[in-house]
Amino acid sequence: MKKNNKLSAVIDLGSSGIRLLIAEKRATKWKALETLERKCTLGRDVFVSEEISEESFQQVVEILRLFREYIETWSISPSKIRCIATSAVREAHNRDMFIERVELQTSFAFQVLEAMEANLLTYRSVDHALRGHLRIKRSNALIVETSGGGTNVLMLNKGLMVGAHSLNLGSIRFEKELKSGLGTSDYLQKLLDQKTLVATRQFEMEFPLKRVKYFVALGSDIRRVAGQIGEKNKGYYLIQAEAFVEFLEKISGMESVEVASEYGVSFSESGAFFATLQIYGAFFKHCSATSLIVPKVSIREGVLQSSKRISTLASLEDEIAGACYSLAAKFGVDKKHSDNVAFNALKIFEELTKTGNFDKDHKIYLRSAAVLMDIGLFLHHRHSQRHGLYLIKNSEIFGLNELDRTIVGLIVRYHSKTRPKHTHSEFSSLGRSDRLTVFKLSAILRVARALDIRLVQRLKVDSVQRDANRLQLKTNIANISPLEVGSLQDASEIFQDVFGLKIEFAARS
Amino acid sequence: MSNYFNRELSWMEFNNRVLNEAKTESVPLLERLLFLGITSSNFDEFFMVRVATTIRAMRDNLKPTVAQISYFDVLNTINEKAHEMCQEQYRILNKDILPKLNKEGLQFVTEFDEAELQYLNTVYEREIFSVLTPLRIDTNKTIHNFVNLQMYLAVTLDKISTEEIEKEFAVIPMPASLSRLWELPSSQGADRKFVFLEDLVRLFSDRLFPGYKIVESSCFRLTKDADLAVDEDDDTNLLTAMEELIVQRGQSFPVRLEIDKKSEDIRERLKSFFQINSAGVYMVDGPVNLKGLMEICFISGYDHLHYDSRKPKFPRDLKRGENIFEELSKRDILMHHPYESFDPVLDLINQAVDDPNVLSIKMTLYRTSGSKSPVADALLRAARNGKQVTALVELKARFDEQQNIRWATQLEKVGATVIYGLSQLKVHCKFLMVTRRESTGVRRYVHLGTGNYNEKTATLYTDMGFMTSRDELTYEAALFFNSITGYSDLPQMDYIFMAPSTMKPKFLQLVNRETKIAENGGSGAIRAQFNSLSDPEMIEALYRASQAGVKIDLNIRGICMLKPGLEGLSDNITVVSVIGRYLEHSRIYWFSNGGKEEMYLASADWMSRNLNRRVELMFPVFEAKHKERVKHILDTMLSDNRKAHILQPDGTYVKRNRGKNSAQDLFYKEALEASKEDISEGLKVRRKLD
Repeated sequence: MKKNNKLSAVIDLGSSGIRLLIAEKRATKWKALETLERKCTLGRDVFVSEEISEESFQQVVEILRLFREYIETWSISPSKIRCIATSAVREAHNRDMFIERVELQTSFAFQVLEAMEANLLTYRSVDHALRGHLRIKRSNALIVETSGGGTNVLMLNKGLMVGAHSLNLGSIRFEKELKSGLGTSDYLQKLLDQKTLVATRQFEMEFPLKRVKYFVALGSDIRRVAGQIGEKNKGYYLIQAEAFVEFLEKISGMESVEVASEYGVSFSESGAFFATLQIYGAFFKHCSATSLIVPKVSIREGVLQSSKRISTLASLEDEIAGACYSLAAKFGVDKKHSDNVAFNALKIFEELTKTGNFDKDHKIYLRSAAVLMDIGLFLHHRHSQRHGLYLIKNSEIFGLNELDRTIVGLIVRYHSKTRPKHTHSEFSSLGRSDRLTVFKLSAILRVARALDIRLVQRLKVDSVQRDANRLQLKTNIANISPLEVGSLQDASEIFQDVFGLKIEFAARS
Repeated sequence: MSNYFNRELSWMEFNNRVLNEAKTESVPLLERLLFLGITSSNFDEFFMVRVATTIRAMRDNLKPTVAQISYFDVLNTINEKAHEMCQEQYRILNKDILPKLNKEGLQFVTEFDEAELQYLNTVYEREIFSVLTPLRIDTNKTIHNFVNLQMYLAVTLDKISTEEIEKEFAVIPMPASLSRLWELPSSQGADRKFVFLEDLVRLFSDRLFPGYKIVESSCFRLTKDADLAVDEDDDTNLLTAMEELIVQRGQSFPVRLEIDKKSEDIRERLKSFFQINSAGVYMVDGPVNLKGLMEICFISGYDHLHYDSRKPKFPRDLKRGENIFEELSKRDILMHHPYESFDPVLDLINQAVDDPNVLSIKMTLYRTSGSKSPVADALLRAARNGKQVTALVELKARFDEQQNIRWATQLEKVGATVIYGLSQLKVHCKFLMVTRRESTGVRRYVHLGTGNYNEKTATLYTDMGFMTSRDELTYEAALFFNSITGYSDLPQMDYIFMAPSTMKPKFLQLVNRETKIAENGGSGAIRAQFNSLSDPEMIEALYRASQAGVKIDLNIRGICMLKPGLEGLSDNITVVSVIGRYLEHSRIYWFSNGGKEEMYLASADWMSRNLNRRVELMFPVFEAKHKERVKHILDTMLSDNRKAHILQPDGTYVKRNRGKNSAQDLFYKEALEASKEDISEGLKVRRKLD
């Protein structure tokens, strides 16, 4: 049968189930045609023994073969099949072996998502589902997705992504408590309250939860509940706050068997179902939202919105900037200074776009690095760039995966005195093109930073003029101080090495 | 006192209502004979399954069901009532129907003139003798040698060569391949005479036992326990398990012996041989198995003894000859069978088979229409045409297993994916989905119904059928099918509710919502039509609703365990049962919802069996004009005063005051009227074709 190129399939290997989405591209939108889901026990293995067992492997292979059979009935081209794996596989010690064996047996090549990539996909799917219905993007919103393995939380302040967190707060992780008999509803609720309290304290540092207007909840369990107690809308359900609170109270007083029969979950999953919903409840009670929005989407729709590389940064420029500002604020960075540096750096960047072989992702790296360049000062002024690299690399920044954060961190690391060296392990572990990116962008950032040597944001680059050998910066003021001239001269050396251009202030007529 | 009627006794009441039709003067004569046969056929299944289950429960000393009557008492009452009804059946036959048929020139004879004897002799020698296999009954024979529900002629024999009378005992099975009725030649215009197969065999039975003289003979039939469960824990191959069940069914215990009154000796011998007590022996005053008489109802030339001819009309939502895909792209189609034809469903399948744009056809097959089922045949053609065909064949459709196994095997041979039902659950829902590639993208067309994909029963049963290409419904229909075919676990669905998971909670929620509305001073109301009500939780919810003031009107054709009209319990509940020309089979559920009416069609009754142990499907009625129509159907059925019986608080049924409003007649008139109008002009176009 002829392959249908408008169809795509996404397989998501999660901690409690394997899901398949078959969708068709219609103009600019994706239309979900089929959704399949089969339960699996990966999470149980990994969160207890840190490894995927042979039994689970066989189970996964069996389900994937079934999905393969199903995908074939739709004649989907193999290049249109995307396979992602989330927390359970990510955390498994034997993940590489597992992925390799799965591919050998099923021909499905899985990409293991980082927590932040999963967050990004969640955000994309929510944006896709609610676009045209609710103005989430410009509001204060908390997006919470809870599954067996963990909870992803995204915080939007007037559309700016001020926080993105992936927490080890998943129902399967509570199985031990549930099974040991300690899992009475009271005990579990206390445990969850304690765990969510720690998280919400951290959130409060980024954004007061009381200002959250939209509480967006994702996940199969909350959807099941929304189908029963929520209002149906196009693309999402709406659960009123009172109805949700009443529901949580109701299930607290129910036996597992009652939960199972009333909400259509199996008896063995009723404990996890209960725990998952209590997690939503624990976050919800900190917000002032009057309702829960439950979009009819999942991470799989997010994959459809993404290109092969999950973090195509260009479409998320504002969100990533928001996340960087939020992180910078947490470490007391001088925002005026970093804004000025970012502004001037981007002016220079724009002029170099064509010859520097830059794309939009590079612009985001540069802007992020400018915003975060002084983050290391929080620890100590000595080796602050080195601290900056560490903090950036080990923070959760919405939209930036590990590689992205390493690149941004290295731009910060090398924008001051130290130059990139092949003896630096983080730098040498990068591919050639990424190493060049670090070289080029740290040189630009070094120049932009030099312009604000007096830390008073006096100089703003109005325009950049260029001839064969020079790049001249025309600034908003004419009387450039000798300090500033000297500072630029110091910074221009590396710039010239990298771009072959001498950089200087344009002479005023 | 229990708040429930006993399920089996309620069923007996139902069969009694069917029997009542057989004695209703206004029903044409041959239709009355058919009702007599249906009563008998109903009893066959009832004894095989329900009575056998009751006997087992009694033997196992199980606790009584919610109706709080011991199994012993239930069995006694069944036997008592069944004996009464059996006597009544033969009274109607002998005193009423047969004399009237005689007047119409149709006779059943046992005495013959010379010419007739000669004719019968030829028939016997040529067509019957060679297929008869007499069996001597001795200690080596066991009950397992007797086929369930097969007719036998039992004879006692006396050896001619010895002087002392030493009776031997033998049986002659009446081959199922032979016709039950044999017509004697007659001149034109003269009466037509028929002889029963067993009488014909009896006439020449001595030829089967050379050297013996026939002393006495009696015709009998044995009913055995048929409700052996498949070992569904071992579901590695359900097909093999079902085949084993069919073999096992020949090895179960006897629950009923029907025997004519011709020989007390034979009767006693059989009683002792089968170890069946007197209560289980039904002595009949005429031919055993009245179902066999139904053959005469289908001979030509007696139209005046039948209901007037009614051909199903083409559904009002469609015009004949229209492309079904194009029409379904514009609007939903609702069909009310048998007033409206089942043809559009066959058209949908047949058009899909030959349409190059069709990618796949998926459906459930529960009860097809026999060896030449056009539905199963179309699926075979589709698979041969390279379409993806997925059929969920329910092997557990009781007594249709062999039929379904044959289809399953044929479909597999031509490359279709055949899934043999679900372990532990019988797939009872009616589902068909065609996926088609169109210029705008992939579109799905779905048919959901309350009746089986059986074009024959679609002319005899009342059912609702619904076809749509609405995305919201077809998407969920696909989810549903994937879950029952094992590709997926059950997902969250908004429009389709499925048993055994979400349907019962939804029904309870809908009933409880009416209760809440009434408790808050509103007017709650529930109207529904379905086949049986036996689920205790549903009944309790209805009692609570009634007590809150919800007005509940139910039209339940068969079993009803709810006690209506009891003060303080069910004052606001009325139950009617309509038994008429067509078997009422639709399942319609209507809830007033404070003025925002909601209504659903379903494949399920409010029985624990349907809601907890079967895969069933319920879907909403969307369009306003369809809602209006479905509500009209419900209301018309509830106000029937010609064929409706009202359930009394004591469990008996009283025929409603004889009036002229027969719902079934009215629906046919409406379908006839609608078929005369070209209503397609007025149909609202929901979506434009690209």
